[in-house]
Amino acid sequence: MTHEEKTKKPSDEELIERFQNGDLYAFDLIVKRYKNQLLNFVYRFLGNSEEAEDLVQETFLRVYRNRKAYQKVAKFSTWIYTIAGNLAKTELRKRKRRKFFSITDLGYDDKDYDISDEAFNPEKTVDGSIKEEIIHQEIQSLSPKFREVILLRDVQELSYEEISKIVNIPLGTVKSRVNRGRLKLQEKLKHLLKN
Amino acid sequence: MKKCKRFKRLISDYIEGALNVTDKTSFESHLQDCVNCADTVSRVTKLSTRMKKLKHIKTSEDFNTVLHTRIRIESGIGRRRLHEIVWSWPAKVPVYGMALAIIVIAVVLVLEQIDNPYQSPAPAPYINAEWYGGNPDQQTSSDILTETENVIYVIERTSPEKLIQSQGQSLNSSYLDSINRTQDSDSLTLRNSQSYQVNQIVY
Repeated sequence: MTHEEKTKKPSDEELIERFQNGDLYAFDLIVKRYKNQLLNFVYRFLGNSEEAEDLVQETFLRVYRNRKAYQKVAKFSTWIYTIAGNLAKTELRKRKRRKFFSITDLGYDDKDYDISDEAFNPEKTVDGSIKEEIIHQEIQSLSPKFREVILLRDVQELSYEEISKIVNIPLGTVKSRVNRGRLKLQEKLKHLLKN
Repeated sequence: MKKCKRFKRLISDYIEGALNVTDKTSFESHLQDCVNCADTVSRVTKLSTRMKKLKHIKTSEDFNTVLHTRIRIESGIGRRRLHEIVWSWPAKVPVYGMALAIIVIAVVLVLEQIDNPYQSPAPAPYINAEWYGGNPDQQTSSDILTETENVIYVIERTSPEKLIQSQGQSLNSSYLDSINRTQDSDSLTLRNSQSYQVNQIVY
């Protein structure tokens, strides 16, 4: 084995194949490679970091449990993002049901959305962290179908083709959803995005 | 306005450089004339750039430890350990104790039944009366059915004065006040104080 081959980073597909053959270290490498990027995707999707971490744990558990179900024809990243995305959507549906049954539930995570009135005043200067919080909040206000594709495209920087496979909708629909999502979001954030 | 709507559909393609030369030229020409669309393009571009710079959070330090624990439980190692704890000797004491108590109670109940085999069962809601058709010594074929056949007296709620003899029916004990037994015949007194003579009641 040449030095280049030794130092070459194994691809995701190589790692999952090794894991399928019983190499648990390969699974740890997959976790290391994906845990933070999945966390950021789920966090922006659900709006709550603790829940997001729990859901990412669940994603890896499912990868572990269903490792034999993965087939080489698909990209590993597509597979793992699909699992995480489906879990996140299920969580949103549960949340909706909880909200429906609890009239006292005024907000899922009030703390996360607790922005001071000052932050909404376009006349005042808002610092970076408040801007960040406002953007985060406005992402949450998008409907899940727009939120998911926007996050996959603009935060995770995945290709339209991959997003199409993850979300399981045609490529043209993904493109139009991303565009419409961006238009909605820029409208909501007009005061932050002005010159 | 209609034109703006059409061009707004192309904004993402434009900022990502995915438009062909013809569409790009006509798009840019529209932006020259339309301030609204030009502002929108500017904001979408900024938004797209800003989204990529959103703060990235990291998993907690114990993420891997928690995950490995969950996997151990998932793969059964944890379950085996839990099983071992449940069935360890100190945990067995109350379980065995309870099992022993149940066995003792069951044995006592069985012995009580054996000691008192004639203990009357719980009162039945109905009294079945077997009719022998008069004095057993003077039985005739007309007033006896068969000895094995049960004839049951029924008191109808609507006409309590009427005592009906019929096979397979019941005398509701709730109407019954008392039964007076004599050597030859029995009589029933109902709660409405009416008395009826029957030949023999077996209950």
